[in-house]
This record gives sequence, C-alpha cells and structure tokens, in this order.
Amino acid sequence: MLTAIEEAIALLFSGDEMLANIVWVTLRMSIASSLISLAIGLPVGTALAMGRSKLAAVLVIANRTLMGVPPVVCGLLCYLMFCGVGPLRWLDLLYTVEGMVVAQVLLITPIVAGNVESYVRGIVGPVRDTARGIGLSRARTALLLLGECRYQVFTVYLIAFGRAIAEVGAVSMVGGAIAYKTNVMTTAIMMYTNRGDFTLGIALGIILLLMFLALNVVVGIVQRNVSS
Amino acid sequence: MRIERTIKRYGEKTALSVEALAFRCGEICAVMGENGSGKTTLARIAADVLKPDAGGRVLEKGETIGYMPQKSYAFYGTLARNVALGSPTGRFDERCHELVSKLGLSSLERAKAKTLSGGETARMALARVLAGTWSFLVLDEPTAALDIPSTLAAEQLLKAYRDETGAGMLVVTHSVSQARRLADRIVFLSGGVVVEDGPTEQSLAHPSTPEFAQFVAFLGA
Repeated sequence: MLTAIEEAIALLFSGDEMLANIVWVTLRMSIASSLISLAIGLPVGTALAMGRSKLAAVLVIANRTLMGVPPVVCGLLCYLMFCGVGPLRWLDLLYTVEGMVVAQVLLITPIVAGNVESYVRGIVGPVRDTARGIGLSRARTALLLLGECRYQVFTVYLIAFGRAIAEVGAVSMVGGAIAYKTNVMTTAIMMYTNRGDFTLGIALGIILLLMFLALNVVVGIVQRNVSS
Repeated sequence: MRIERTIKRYGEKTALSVEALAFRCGEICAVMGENGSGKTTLARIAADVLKPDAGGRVLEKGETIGYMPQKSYAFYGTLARNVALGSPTGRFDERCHELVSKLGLSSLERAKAKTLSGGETARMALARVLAGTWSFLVLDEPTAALDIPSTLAAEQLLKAYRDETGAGMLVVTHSVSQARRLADRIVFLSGGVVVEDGPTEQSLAHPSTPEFAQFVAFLGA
C-alpha cells in the first residue's frame, strides 16, 4: 500500500502523458457540465421558488424527484438516445466528451435548481412584497432574488462541480472510458483498480482531491469578497 | 381605490371581512386596530401582495399603488442603491438625495444597507417608496421602529408628498397621536371588521363604537 502511494506521488511529478490527458478530459467535462447546469438551474430554481400556482408546486416535486435519479439510469437513457438505433443518433454524441457533458447536465441541473429553489424560497416573500411595493417587474425581482442569494450560488456551483467531477455511472456508459478520448479520473480509477494497477488509481485519487480542494479555496475567496 | 366585498381567511379564522371601503386621492387614512384585527391583511390586499378569498382591490384606470411592508427589506448594496430602486429613473437622482437628506440619512448613503439599524432601515424603505410617483401609498406601520424626531420628520414628508402629488395614503398605525397629527380619516378594525370609519377629529372626539372608544381611552391620552 505504502509502495503504491510512493509510486503514485512519483507519477504525479513524472509528466505522464496518459495521466495528463485524463486530468484534461475530466476538467473539460466537469467545468462545462457544471457551468451549463448552473446557467439552466439558476433561473429554473428561481422560477420554481417564485411560483405560487399548483403547477409550480407539482414542478417542485418533479424536480426533487429528478434530483434523486441514479446516474446509471441517466447514463442508460442517454445511451439509448445516442446509440446506433436511438432517436438522437444523428448527433454523434455517443463516446464523446460532449455526450458525457449532456448526461452530466441532465443529472446535475435538477440538483442545482433544487438547491437554488430552496435558498430563494427562504427570502422570496419579503423580497417580492418589497419589490412589488416599488413597482419592479417580475424579471427585475428575480434578478434581485438571485443577487440576495449570491453567496449560496457559489455553494451551489461547488455542489455541481463536485457532482460532475466525482460521477462515474453516467459518464462511463455514455463515454465508454476510451483512453485518450473519454476516459476521466473516476472511470480511470475504476478501470486501473480492476486491472490491479493501484498506482495510477491512487495518483488520480490524489489529483481529484487536490483539484476539489483548490476549487474550494478559490470559490471561498471569491465568496468572501462578494459577500463583504 | 376601493376594497369591495373582501374576505380573507386563515384556516378557520376570518382575518378580514370588508363590505366596502373607498380611499380617495389626497386623503390620508389611518388604519387602526389591536393586534390581529386585520390591519396588515387589509394593507396587503390593498397593495395586491395578498390574494383574498373573495372580492379584492379595485383601481380606477391609471391608478398606481406604492407599498411599504411592515418588515422593510434591505437589498444587497448601499443605502443609495436601495433608494434608487424606487426611483422611476432607476438612479440615485436629486429626488432620492432630497428624501434621504430629509430623513436624516445623508451620512449613510454609501453604507451597506444590511448593516443599518432597524430605524435606519425603516427610513431607507420609506425613502425608497417615496422616490416613486404613486396615486396611492399603502404604508404598514412606517414609523414603528423610529424615535420621535424621526417619526415627526417622516410624517412631515408624507404630508409634503400628499400635497405635492395629490396621492392618497393608507397608513397602518397603533398610535392615536400619530393618527391625530397625520390622518384626515380613521378606519378602525376589530376582529377583521370595520367598526369605525370617519373624519379623524370627529372619530376621536366621539367614537361611535365601544371598541374604538376603549382603544382611544387606552392609547389616546
């Protein structure tokens, strides 16, 4: 075990081409999917919190249900859509990073929307009353609400990115874990561990943790500056 | 503005039951009553931020309503940004400057709104709503958090706004002395029902119902 860790640390500084490619693909996929999910989930979550109709209540329940969809089910759905006999085969997304991003967005957006909905709901009453009292439009009120939740927006992004970078079920089904193409850190860790190659698996695990630590530090600094 | 055949229930309790109430432009009307009498419910329905179970608010064509809730909300940013939100120009213009100055907040223009005290936040909220141009203003206990000098300054500002714009006002208050200083008319609610509605001096001198007489006797000295 100790030997594997020592070798993993040596590998981190060796400039290994495959390792670098896996990290690069992981970053591309995680950053793209988390940002797209945030862009969709923020307005959707705000709209869900602002809605007072029965339809809005139904949509909140639907979204909360989607938050719990198992990644492999999402992966399976995307696979069936993108495979050679699927209705979306013309998009050529199977076994591509873009296809993995689509699967991740489907998986993460309800989580972003649900978290935003829960944050916004806590302040929507007084903000809406005040905004309406001075004649602001619904769109302006929604922007004000998001402004009031800006601290939480960063937390939501961390959740989205964390989910994207740590996910394995959907990306392995849609991406296929093809070396130098769609193999990301989580699928690579699984693959190398199954082969008995613990060194690369541990090295990837260390990188995964360090990347998330770095993102946490950056977001924490930005969050503090935005909130002060 | 009229409130017609309006009922609002919370569960089994009827919070408000009003057959007909009309508010005129240029008139300041004090809405009074004990806790839970339906004042805030009436104000919220008048401001159209609360949906009644029956009836509701009726506006004449072109009438606009400004509203200051009981709990004033301070948005992210400075006091100036908050007040500018209420301005038709969206900027902290001359009118905003004047209001902030008259409410004794000039030194706090650049202060973060969320760090203001309760009284300062209430004055900021008052400046914010007065920065707009309204046919009617619905103000729910606008001076409840203010000290006496600030209360008097706020009342002067409300009267000036009425004189300048001809707006009508519906001011929820617990203070009989404030109603005497500010209002042309008193509407008194008890158990969600209007039990007194008349000119201020006449209503205070000769309450027509025992509920209002008792209220004035307790608080009106």
